[in-house]
Order: sequence, then structure tokens, then C-alpha cells
Amino acid sequence: MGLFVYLRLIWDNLGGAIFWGIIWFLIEYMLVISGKIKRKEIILKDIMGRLAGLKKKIYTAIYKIPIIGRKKEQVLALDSVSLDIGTGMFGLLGPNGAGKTTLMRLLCGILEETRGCIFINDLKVSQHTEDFQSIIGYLPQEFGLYENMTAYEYLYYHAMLYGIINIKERIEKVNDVLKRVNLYQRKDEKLKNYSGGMKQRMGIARTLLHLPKIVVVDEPTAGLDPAERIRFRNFLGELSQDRIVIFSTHIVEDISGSCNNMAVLNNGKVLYKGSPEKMLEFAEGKVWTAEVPDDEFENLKNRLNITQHIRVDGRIRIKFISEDGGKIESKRVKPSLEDAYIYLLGKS
Amino acid sequence: MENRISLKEHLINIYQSIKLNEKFIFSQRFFFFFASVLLYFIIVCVVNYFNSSAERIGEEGIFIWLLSVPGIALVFYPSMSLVTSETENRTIEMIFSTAGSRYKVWLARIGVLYLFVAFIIFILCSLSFIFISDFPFLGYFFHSLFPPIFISSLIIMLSVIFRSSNAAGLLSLVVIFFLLITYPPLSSTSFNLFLNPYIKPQNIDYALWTSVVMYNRIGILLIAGFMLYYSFFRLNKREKYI
Repeated sequence: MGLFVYLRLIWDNLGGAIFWGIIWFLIEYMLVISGKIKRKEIILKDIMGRLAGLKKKIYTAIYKIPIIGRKKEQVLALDSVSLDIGTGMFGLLGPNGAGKTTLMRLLCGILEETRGCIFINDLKVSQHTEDFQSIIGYLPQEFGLYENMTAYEYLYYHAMLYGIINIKERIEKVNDVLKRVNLYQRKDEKLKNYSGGMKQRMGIARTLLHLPKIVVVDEPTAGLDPAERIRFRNFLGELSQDRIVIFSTHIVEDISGSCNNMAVLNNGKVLYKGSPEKMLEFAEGKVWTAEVPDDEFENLKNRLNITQHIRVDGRIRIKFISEDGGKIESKRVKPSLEDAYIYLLGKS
Repeated sequence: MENRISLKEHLINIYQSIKLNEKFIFSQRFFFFFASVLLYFIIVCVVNYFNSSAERIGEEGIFIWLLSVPGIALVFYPSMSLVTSETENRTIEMIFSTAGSRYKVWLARIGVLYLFVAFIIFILCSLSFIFISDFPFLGYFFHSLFPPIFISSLIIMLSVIFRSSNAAGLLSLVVIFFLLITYPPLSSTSFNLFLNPYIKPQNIDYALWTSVVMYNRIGILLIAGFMLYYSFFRLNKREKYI
């Protein structure tokens, strides 16, 4: 009301005062509602009672307004993670949302840790971000390329960004990495014409331009066909001979085929760190196989942690993880890395 | 390898940097940008030619409508997409992970953008000088660069704040519209973005006019610089952009 009188005085214009009064009322109303949604933790889709439909629409609209509406809730992405990574290939295994990408972004200085520290040769990454970025090559999980450029132009531009100012050296390095990733023959083709695997190789070629001591690749094999995946894995293996290669994946096969050291992450916590062979010991004696009829399989599906099932001669052969053999007629089998991984996830 | 490079290599590096950055700034459509500005110029010239002598475009009109406004139109799209295109193309994480590239990538692109805008304004200035009217050529060229630089910085800042090129474009249009409608009452004050230092109001003495122009230019550059600085400062909160 005070605002209304004030506006009436300064404008001497009733229409203007009413207009601004309505605007003021709407803003106040939105602030009150957004406060109410947060305070009472109202779940918008569960709004009931009189005029529920209208309320739902109004509340949802207010909730979507930036600043006054939705506020991002803080998530504990990594919790008490302690890892020691040396030269060679290090695999980070974990389901989606486990915290692998956050860990990698922290390593590369893209994100800053809220608590805890990452050290490289006893130096804090957060205090020497720029210095360490010059020895780290990072390939994000989902990355784009400048599609209108040719492969050569793309790498040439990034070589400039990496501060390779000597022209001869720049040309040599670009040609060298193109040869290393087997794309030299197609260097003058535009990147938009490249396949998924070739784009992935292009991404890794970029990270190799400044000869990094540490290569960090986030789920590089996702979306590649099996042949490309193996080729790419082998390529990372070659790289790891004289540097640290940290690569994350949720495909167990990638780890078993290439890493000598690994860690399993789930919900931001490290469930296991060590060699893949050692991880098998967790599931030793806990993996079983059995052949069951169709109707029994339906019941067992809900009761057991079945990792594989295949139809054989009218029955279903299942492989499952259990401490006691599932109380059915079954026999123990040797666990695979995938079994051990599923066992660990189940335990957490 | 030897890190010292010759002057020739420096020049080649600068040339190559301009050439590569041009691909990002104009999305390889520089020709279309250039052609549309020329087309606009030709249309204004043709309309001007058929107008009566009283309605013909004067020096003030040339400064605003043939130099400053095309300059603003040129910087509009590249500034809108300077940062947001990296987010949309998912290339920003790579930029953030490259040592020291956070500022130099965008500063280089802004520099190249201004260079191209200056080049086009120079051409428009020459054409106006030849076909329309006599005016202080170099002075007009220099002073008509201020509005595009200011608007470009504003758009970049808005696109960084809102993380949306469309929101930045829309808000900037509102600001440009506001600046154009407030032009008549502010025309002889230092708050006028389109201030033409060569058209001195009769009721103001020369010394005062010089100080108005100086404050205007310093103000525009300082605010534009601050807006760019603030944009880069905000880009430090990297988690918001990836």
C-alpha cells in the first residue's frame, strides 16, 4: 500500500501506479511461493486439494524462474577418496553417477575440490593448476570438435593454444600425432565427415600434442564398435608405457584387457583399489551356475543376483552371485572380473 | 627445440591465428556477413539518392546509420556465440583443460572480431566518403568503432551471465533500442553512445565539448573493459559452463 501511495505521489498518474503496483504484487507473490516451496519441500507433482491443477501450474512456473525459483542442491560427488596412481594404465571403474568424471575434472584442474587435496609429485594441483595443465592431456567423456575444420587445422589451432610457437616444431608435432592415431592420410578432410572412432582418436591426438606426462581419458570407449574399442584400448596401452594414463569406464572388459591397476568407485566412494587379478578374490566361491526351468527362473530373478542367463535345451542356464549357492541345485564357477565388480557394487 | 622465434615467424603466427580464429567468429560465413552489410549500405544509398535534398542523410546520419549501426550488426552474432557456442558444441571442457587458454582463446577471438569490424567499417567509411558526403574520414572511422566495441562487450557479458546466446541477444536488443530512443535527449551529453564528436551543439563552447567527448570515450572504453573483465571473471566458475 505504501508503495502504491509513493508511486501515486511521484507519478501523479493513477494508471502508472496501478500498473507498477500489480508488478510489485506479482513479484512479492512469486517470492512468497518460491520460499514456501523450499521451506515446506513441496513436491510439485503431488499437490492435492482445491484448485490443485491451477496451483500445480503456477507453482511449477515459479519454480522454473531462475534465481528466485529452483536452486541446485549440493551433491557430495566424492567422499573420502584416497588413491595413489603411478606410471602405467590406471582404470577407474564404476556405474554412471559414481563420481568418475568429477574425479577426472579435479585431476585436470577444471573443477576445484571443496575439501581434500590432489598432489602430483608432492605439489598441490589446486595451487599449481596452470603448471599441471601443461603436463596433463585431458579427453572429456562427451566432447565436440570444430566440425568445420579439417583435422590438420584443428590440431594446428590447438598446437598454437598449447604455446608451440615455433612453426616448424608445430607442423612436425601435428603431423606426428596424426600419424600416431592413424589419421594422417585423412588430415585434410573436414571433421564432420569423421566416424565416432576417428573423432575419438582425433580427441586423443589433441591431448598428445604437448607430450603430456599424464593422460586422462573419460569413458573413451563408450559408443565405439568392438573393433574400434579394442584398437583404442591398445593405443592407450602403448601410451602408458612411459606415462600415466588414467581412464574411466563402466565397461569391465576395458579394464581387464588393459589395466594393471584400478579402482572401483560407487556413489563417490572407493570400493576397491588394486590390481584386477586381486579384485577377483572378492568373488571367489560366490559365483554359481545352475540350469532351471522357465517358471522357476521367473521366481529366481527377483531372489538372486543373476549376472547371465541363456536358454539351453528348453531350460535356462543362469550364472549368479550368492554367498550360499541360492539354495538351489547349483555348482561353483570361477569368477570373472565382471562378477567381482557386480559383487562389490552389490555389497556397497 | 629453440623457443626463440624470428619476427617473420611472429608475423606468420599472427596471420595464422587471425585466419583460424576467423573460422570460429563468423562460422566460416564471413563473406555473407560482409555481403549483407554491403547490401544494407547500397539500400541506404539508393533510398538517399531518391530522397529530396532536405531528407538526405547528413553527417550525423552517416555516423550512426552507415557506420555505427552496421558495426553493431556485425559484432552482434559473433559476440552472442563467442562463449555459448563452445558450451553448445561441448568444446569448452577442452578449453578449460588447456593451460592458460581460458583468457587467451576468447581474447584472441575478440581481438580478431574487432579487427574484421574495423576493416568493414573502414570500407563503409570509404564508400560513404566517395559516394555520399565529405567528412573527416579518419576521425569518423575511429569514432564509429566505439559503439560496436561497447555493444560487443555487453553481449559477451550477458551471454556469460545467462549462459544463453538467445537471452543475451534479446536483452542486448532491448538495450540498443533504449540507447537509440534516448539518443535525442542525450545527444550532446557524455552519456550518448552514438556521440559524434564532429557535430558540436551550438550552445556548448569548444572546451566543454572536448571534455564531453573525452569523458564519453573514456567511459565507453572503461565500461566495455569492465564488462569483458567481468565476463572472464565469471568464466572462472567453470562448473557452471560444463
